[in-house]
Order: sequence, then structure tokens, then C-alpha cells
Amino acid sequence: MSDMTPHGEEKMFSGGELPEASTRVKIIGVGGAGANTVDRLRIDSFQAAQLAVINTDAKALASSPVSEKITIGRAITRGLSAGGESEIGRSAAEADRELISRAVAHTDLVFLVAGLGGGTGSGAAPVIADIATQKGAMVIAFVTMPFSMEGGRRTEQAQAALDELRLRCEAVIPLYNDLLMQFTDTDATVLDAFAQADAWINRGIGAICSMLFRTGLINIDFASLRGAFPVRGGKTLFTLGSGEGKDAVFRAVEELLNSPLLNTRETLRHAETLLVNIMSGPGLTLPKANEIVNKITEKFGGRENTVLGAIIDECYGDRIEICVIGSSGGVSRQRKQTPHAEPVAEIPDPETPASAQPPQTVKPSRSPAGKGMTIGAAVDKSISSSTTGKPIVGPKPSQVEIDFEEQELQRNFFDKTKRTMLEGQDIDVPTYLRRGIKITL
Amino acid sequence: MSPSNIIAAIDIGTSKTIVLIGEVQAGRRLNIIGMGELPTRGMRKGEITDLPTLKSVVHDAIHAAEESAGIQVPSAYLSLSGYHLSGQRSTGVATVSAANGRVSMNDINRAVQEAKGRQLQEGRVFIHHIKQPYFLDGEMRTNPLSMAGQRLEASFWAIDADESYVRELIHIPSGYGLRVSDLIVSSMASGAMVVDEPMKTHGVLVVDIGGGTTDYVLYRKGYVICTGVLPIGGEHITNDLCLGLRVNETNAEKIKREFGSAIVSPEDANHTIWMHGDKSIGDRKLYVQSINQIINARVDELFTILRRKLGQRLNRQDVAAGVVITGGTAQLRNIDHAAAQTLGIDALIGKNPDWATEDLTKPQYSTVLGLLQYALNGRDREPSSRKSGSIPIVDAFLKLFRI
Repeated sequence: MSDMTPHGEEKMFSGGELPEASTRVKIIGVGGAGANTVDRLRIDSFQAAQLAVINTDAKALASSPVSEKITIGRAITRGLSAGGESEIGRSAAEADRELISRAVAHTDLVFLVAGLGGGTGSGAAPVIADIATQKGAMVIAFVTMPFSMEGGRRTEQAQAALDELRLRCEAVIPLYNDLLMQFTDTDATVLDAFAQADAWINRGIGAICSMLFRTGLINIDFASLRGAFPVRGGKTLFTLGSGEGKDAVFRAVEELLNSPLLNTRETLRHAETLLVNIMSGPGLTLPKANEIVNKITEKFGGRENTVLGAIIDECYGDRIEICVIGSSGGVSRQRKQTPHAEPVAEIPDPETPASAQPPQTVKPSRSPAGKGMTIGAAVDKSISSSTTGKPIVGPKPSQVEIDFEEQELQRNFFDKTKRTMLEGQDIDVPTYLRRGIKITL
Repeated sequence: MSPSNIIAAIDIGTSKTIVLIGEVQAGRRLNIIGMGELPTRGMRKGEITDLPTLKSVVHDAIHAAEESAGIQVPSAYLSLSGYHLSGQRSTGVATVSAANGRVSMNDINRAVQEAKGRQLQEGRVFIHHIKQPYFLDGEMRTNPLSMAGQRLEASFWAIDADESYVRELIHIPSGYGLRVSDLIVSSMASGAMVVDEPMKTHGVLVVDIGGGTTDYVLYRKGYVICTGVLPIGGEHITNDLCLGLRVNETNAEKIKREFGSAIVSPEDANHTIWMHGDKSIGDRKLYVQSINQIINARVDELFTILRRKLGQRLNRQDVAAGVVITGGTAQLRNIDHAAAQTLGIDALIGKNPDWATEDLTKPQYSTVLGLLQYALNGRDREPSSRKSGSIPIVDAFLKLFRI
């Protein structure tokens, strides 16, 4: 308690203000890069969400406009940064599990935002995800991955953190700086790539939040969202597209299908569950929405387990925005309903027995009988099939298995082969990406 | 036509499986009488990813070759590649024992035995022991027998492979009823095709860039100095184009072949091409510079890695005959210039020998032709006396897996 920042109480106050029935969402920026991104989120899209930033670096935190600031590992770093060492970031988070627990308590959905590769982001984020999971929250992580040119050590640290996060989060969306650079102008700087990352994270979190909080043609309640991610440990499919004018739908679909962030075409065809959210002006009809879903499932699969949300908003006019999130199934078939029944290895967890509270039951934020229509049946099916039908792989997959499954994006038709590391780089990832060469389309 | 005059070669490459059947006439003349060629499926980067599919492709290719030859073949030579291959120089030393101080056969045998005696890790198997020169008191000797000296050193370039991979590979033709006479490492097979003895003497690097792997062999003073495999090939270029230009695999392959160049030239700036060129739906305008930047980055990286692997061994003096590029990707425009640029040594595109006619002159056939040459040479010799130093591991495998 003594280490809590003065703003801690403020957060508790605002937390209490939220209506009981509503889904409680918290966006947490971890480490320097993560906190920066959260600082820059366009707050208006997330009125219903609370923001928090967690860092080892107290000075960096002080400059954040976000009110809930949590300095971790004061005893270890004395309020300084983790110095790029993920072990220090991890110890810092471990040392302040209590503080973190309080920050994630009574939350249904936690968005973790972190830049992987450095100390606090790589080290603390998996610990925070672990704690949030134990507190019964669903955790979706948006993480940026370092540029290849930043060197092997940062890449390795980031990859290790990504692997860990996947075991602890319902969904992990890695955004590769190498790839984001491709969205920028030829003379773009590294900062432009970071701005791209912010924009993607902003749109991604925005899409999920509006599914939950805005009235639409088709609403998705929290249970459906959670149901779309029945397993942990797998890859997450994430893509966005937008279009305007007469061919808005066509363009939006084209854009999301051709997104450079999506270069695992082969893998993604086997996505087990898909969450499709459409935001559009009044022109959107159910048949049109269906058409969109058809096109998307044609590409990614998951037709059996697709959850559709559609938001109609006058101010979109003839613009349409589509967000697709999918899970391709994981190595570790742990069911999310029992997050702490089988504690995942690696992060030592002294608190597990003490905090063995019953799994929190999740209440839908909106009654299905309301004006929204929930397509929840498909999801229920997916949950039951994963509990009964499919073989459940052991809870502790060996590291080798994970490596095999956890091949990164951008490998495309080398997806099925073993990763070939030469001089610290995955040689199957296009050279131009690793060298940061900008390709004009 | 007696079966002993029939030889066959199977090259299972990452992108293509090629089977050749040859007939030996009048002792040494070779006629190619049958051929089967199919796109390989079930293999990436020289790794088997889907054995049943790969098997059926290879069987179909063998069948096609047998059909076109109108004959059934009992056995074949098989190529071997993949990143699992590793090569090392191994040496053995013997002290000259005779009272007269001259090297005896016994001394040579002792040095050779020691050189070949290196223990491999479990799961590894020797494929070739390629003979390198002897050194007698530090002087290089091709044949030291009866020469005066004290310390005799024998050396080999020893190539070993993953045993289970080799086992699986051999099983593929034998599943069709075809015996594998011997396995030849791909780089050795294509090297035998595209360079001649004078080039090997002057020093030459052969780089066979295939679909999924790049196999290389460096010769100096007529001997194989080293061989190696990089898990990078033409498919990487195609994949990079797919991702970089957001086109599908078929279009990326087409763009690579029709418009691609391994170097970016100033004229490429602002130059555009149409992907299909027929104004069809889905046709797209693409910047040539973008295409070539993607290709150049990959090709430059490939040669950079190769340069690092070879290190000091790669220099203008020791590799005076330059770099010879072969394999399917040798057809990529300006690949020789890109190689020369990155390796700092003159490079040219390899040519198969004159007896390879018509289509077989293309660089992607170097390996399978080389196999056929090994088959021709190995036909009437005992394995132990073969110059290449191949050891008959195949029989041992087939005893275990006889069908």
C-alpha cells in the first residue's frame, strides 16, 4: 500500500462509479513504449474503459497524462528503468504483485499494451497477464515487436516474452515494427513506425470496445467475446480494413485481406474462431454484413465459429470499418474457464494457492432480448466442442512444441517448416523486411 | 538391351522432382532415353514436410520416366541436400614405419583409417568421405606411396547427414520397388557437371541455387575443399515477392521469372509493369524497382551468408576460375552480377556438358545429370575404389528396410 501512487485512490473511485452490469474494461500500458501508446490513445473512443500505466521508471511515469500510475520494482530499480533487461522487468513485477493485483481486480477485460524487446515490457507484461488471469479477467495483449535491425538480443527477448504472453492471454496481437514500416512513406523514420503501431492498437482496442459498448445492428456481449478465445497458447489473427464510397465494402475487405500484418495465410485458414466487427453508417444491411463475413471466412476459415458484431453509426456516413480477430487454436488447450487450475510454468507463482478464488462468472453486459441481436450460438458450440470433442493436449507443452507452433508472421509458405535461425534472424522472413527496405506499391 | 546398361538418377528437389534414365552404349556413350519431371510437393527447404505426398510425386515421376523409356529400371542414384547436411575436414596421421623411410601402403592405410575413424553423434551418418591431398612432412602429395618422409597426413572432406532423414529418403524410391544404388550430395553432382578439371585446378566455387536450398562446393588444386548447404533458395525470393507485393504465389513466381532482376538498376526507378499484361480483372501495375529491391535484398543476403561461411577460403587467388552459378535460380536475371558484387569474385552462369541436349542444357538439370554421370562412373567399379570416396551406406539401410 505504501508504494501506491497518489492517483491510486482516484482510480478506485472511478471504478466504483461504473454500473454493476457493465463490462469492466481496463487498458494497461506496460513499460516505456506501452505507456507511451496508452498516453496517446484517443480517449474518446474508450469512455467506458479505464486507463493505467505500469513502469519501473518513475520519472517516465510522472510525465504520463494517465491518472492511474503504478511504479513497480522500486525496491529493485529504485524507480529507474529496467535497463533493457527483461529479468529485471520480471522481478520488478513479481515484487509488486500486490499492487498489480489491486489494479486488475474487478475487471472483466484487460488490454495489455507493451513494446517487447526492452526490459519492463518484456519482463513485466507476462507477469501482469498472469495476475490479471488469476483475478478472473480476460486478457488481450497488443505488443509491438522490435525491428530486426535492433539486433538479435532484443528480438530474442521479445520472442521469449511473446511466447510467455501467449500462454497467459486469451489473445496476443504482435505488431512487427518491420512490417509497420511498410505502411509509412519512403523517407519515414522509426517514429513513423511507432505512430503506425499506435494507430493499429488504437483501432484494435477501439473495435473491441465498440463491440461491447455501442448499440448496434448486432451486438456482442462479453461472454461471446470471451467464448471466441477458448484456448490459450495459440496465435491470434488480427486485421483491419476500411473503405469509403460506393465500393466501401469491397475496399475494406480487400484492405484487410491484403494487410501486410497478415502474412500467415496458410495458418490463418485454419483459424478456429473468428470475431468480425463491422462499423458503418446506416447503409449496412444484414445481407451485406453476411456477405462480408462470407468473404472473410472464405479466406480465414472459422466459419463454424464466427461471432459477428455490427455497429451502425450515422457519423460513419458511407465509410465502413472492419476488424477481424481470430484464434487459430493453441498448443496448450487449457480452457479459459479454469485459468488457475493448472498454473502455467515458468513464472514462479507463490500466490496461487492463496488466491485460489473461484472462477468469476461472467455476466453478459447486455440482455440478448434487447434491441441487439447476439449471435452466440456458434460460440457456445465452439466451447462445447473444445471441451468434449477435440483431444486435449497436455497442459505443459514442451518448449520445442511451442517453437514449432509459434512461428511468427511473415513466413507464409515456410510456415510448416522449422524456423531456421541464421545469425540471430529468422531467415524465412523476407530480407527486405529485416533490412528495413521500404517497398513502394 | 541388358539391364546392366541402364542407369537412372532421381533428383528430389524442393521445387521439382526429376528422374532421368540413361542407356550406356558401347561402354561409355550415354543416351538419355527416359525422363520424368514433376513439381515436388511435400518438401520445403530440403526438408520433408509431408511424406505421403512426396512419395506419390516421386513415384509418379519415376513412372513417367519409365513410360517414356519403355523400360523398367531396377536401381537409381539419388541426390541428397538439406540443411541437415554438415561437412568437416577430418585428418589422420601415420608415422612412416619402414626402415628405408619410404611411405608404404600400410602407412597410407593407417592414416586413412584414422581420418575416417571420427565418431559421429548418435543419429548422424556419413554420406561421403571426399579425398583431399596427402601431406608428407607438410608437403602436399597426390600419391605419397614410396616417397621419403616421416609424417604422413591423410585428409578427407567428410559429409554427414541426419540418419532418419536419409532413411526416409531412401525409403521413397524403394517403396516403388527401385533400389537406391548410392546417395550423392547435390552440390557434388552439379559441381561435376558445370566445371571441368582445369577450373577445379585453378580453384572454383560452384553455387547451385535451387528452390529451397543453395548447395555449394569449393574446389582448389583439383580437390574438393568444402561443401555446404544454405536453407535459402528461389522459393524465398518468390515468398518475399508474395509478401512484399501482396500477390499470390503463382503471380509472384511469374513476376520473378518475367520481370525480376537480382540487381536494382537506375532505370528501374518509376518504371512500371502490368502483372498480367492483358488488362484482365485483377491486373495490377507494379514498380519494377520494388520487385528488384525485394529480390536484390534476398540474393545479396544469400551471397553475404555464403561469403561469411567460406571466410578466408574465398579469395581471388585461390578461386581463380571464379564462381559458377547453377540450379533453377541461375535463370534469374543478373544473378551472376549480384554474386560478383557481393562475393567480390567474377561469376558466370554454369553450362551443362554437350551431351546434355535440348532442355537438359538448362541449369536446373545440373544435379540430375551429375547423378547420371556418377551412375555411369560407378557402374563398373567397386565402391571402395571410387574416386569420390562414397561409402556404401545405402546397402546397410536397405538391409534394414528391404521391401
